Amino acid sequence: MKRLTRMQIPYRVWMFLFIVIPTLILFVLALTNMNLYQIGAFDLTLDHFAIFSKNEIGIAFWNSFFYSSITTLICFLIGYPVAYYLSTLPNKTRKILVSLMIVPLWSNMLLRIVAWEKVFTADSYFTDLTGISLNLIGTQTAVVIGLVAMYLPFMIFPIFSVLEKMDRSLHEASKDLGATDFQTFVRVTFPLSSSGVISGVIMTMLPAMTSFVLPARLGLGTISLIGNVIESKFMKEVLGSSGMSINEGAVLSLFIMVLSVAAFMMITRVDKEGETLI
Amino acid sequence: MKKLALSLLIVFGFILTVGCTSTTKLYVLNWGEYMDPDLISAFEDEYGVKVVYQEVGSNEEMATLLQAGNSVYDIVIPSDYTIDKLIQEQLIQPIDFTKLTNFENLEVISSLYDLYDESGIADYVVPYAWGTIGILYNTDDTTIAPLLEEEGWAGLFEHGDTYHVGMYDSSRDAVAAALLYLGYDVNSEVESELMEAETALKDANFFAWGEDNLKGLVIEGTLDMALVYSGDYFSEYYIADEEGRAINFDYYVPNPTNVWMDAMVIPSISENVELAHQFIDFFLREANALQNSDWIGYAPCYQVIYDQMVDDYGYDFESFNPFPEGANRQMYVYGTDWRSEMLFSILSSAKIG
Repeated sequence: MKRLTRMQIPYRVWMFLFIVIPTLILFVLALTNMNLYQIGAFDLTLDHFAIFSKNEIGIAFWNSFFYSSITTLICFLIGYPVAYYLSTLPNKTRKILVSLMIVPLWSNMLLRIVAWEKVFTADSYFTDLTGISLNLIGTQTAVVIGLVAMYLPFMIFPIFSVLEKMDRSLHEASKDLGATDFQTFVRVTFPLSSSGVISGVIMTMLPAMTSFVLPARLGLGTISLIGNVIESKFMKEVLGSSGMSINEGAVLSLFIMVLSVAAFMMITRVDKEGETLI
Repeated sequence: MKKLALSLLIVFGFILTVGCTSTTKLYVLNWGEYMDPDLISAFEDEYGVKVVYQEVGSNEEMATLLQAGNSVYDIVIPSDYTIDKLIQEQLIQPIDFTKLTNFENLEVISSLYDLYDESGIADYVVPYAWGTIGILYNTDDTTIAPLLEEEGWAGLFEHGDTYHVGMYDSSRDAVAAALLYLGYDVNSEVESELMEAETALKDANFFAWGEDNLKGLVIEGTLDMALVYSGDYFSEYYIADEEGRAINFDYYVPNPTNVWMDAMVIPSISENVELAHQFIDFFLREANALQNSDWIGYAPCYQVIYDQMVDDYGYDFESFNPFPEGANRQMYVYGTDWRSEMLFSILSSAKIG
């Protein structure tokens, strides 16, 4: 047992170096006028929070909320039936289908985005093959389709893992007691799978809300999500403003982190063992 | 256990000998595909040193790496306005031109020299390549060329309803294009002029805001035209030419326009200033400068090299010369921090529309 305790050390060191310290730096940057590139004396200040009053930040947050909500809703509408269907299949078929769904996740996300970009152009390989010109590039629809395609598996798997473990005899009991199929679903199956649904919603909504490469590429830069603003604050605006754009970026990042932590606390409340998380 | 200890010892010993070899190292920070690797090897062989070469994608990244000061760099190749800012921040040092034996043999093209001398960066730079910003357009639609020919910058700003137009998603370039369209100086610090530029960017109804993806979007026909750097056009032109593809795009340089220049500079943190100068001097040898310029394919900054590129290497197409006789050209300076912040805010409100 002692040996095992010792084996935690690399993990703890790793966590400390790459999670605890960066988070602390983020806090300091957000709450002080410390210049990340000329670390010296600094004062506490709440000046960077003024960024929330800017018009474009409000719009970016609204866009993030809007696109992630639509994405999550569509993912749920598609994902739940798929997860349900998967859970009813015999073991062998189910395994094949699940792995078919996992395999695309192994390919690089950037590659999948570029692939969608190609498909959405007016005159693409897709057009050559099917004769249909999608011509969606730069539109809201393109961004939504891209987001749904990217995050659908994160909706399906948590729901599936709950439905899979559900006791089938409950269905039989429900029917024995005179419930119709629909009533069984609404009153028995769905409530029992709600922990999976909540995990799925959170695991779809959060990454969709903070994605930035996808809206930039598929929306052709015309749709700005909060991730795009943060990227710009850290990568593009650093030359001006004597480095303070990074502090503003830190404020925005911190806000997103607070949201994420709150979301995960919600997951752990509905799903104490974390079995719906992948 | 003993075996394990022994092999560990061997491995560590190996790492130590590799890590601490006495070979001097020269740290170079540059853009991607922007220096002939054969020449780097040749320099390594000749001077018995190791060149540690790192590539980045933007001026901002270069400046950030220098500001961070975590790692040493001996040579960096940023552009005009970034160099200006790096001088202000005392992150680069003046070049000792007495150490550059080949600099005098190669005369800097005088019109270019005047531009960057006026920016006040001449003591700190050894020019590397230069070019323009302009409009890349798809030639499948034959109405665009005459439109640009007739209207210049207005072609980019006034036809967003008819054509799909792309704009560079960079505050300095987008605002500069708008200022040029309005007839102002690219470095304008006048608030009312900058506000006009913002309005022009908002009203232009751009179909796309992008970076190096714009050129691809024009070529595949998603965009009809877009603001690009001359380098974007050249690289696509050479690729299409090499692959024997039909060239369905062209590059129009409005007048006036902005000239960009990338130049070799030596950071203040350089630990090998002597070798850095030797490196620069190596790339100023006529044969090397010519080979490097041909490898990159952008306009060289030295008259002798330029003439040979045009006369002997076939770089005689129209837009290759960034500064033709009688043209009006300007060059970015960094300006004030106030202006930079203004540029960011203009870009973000313009993108919202």
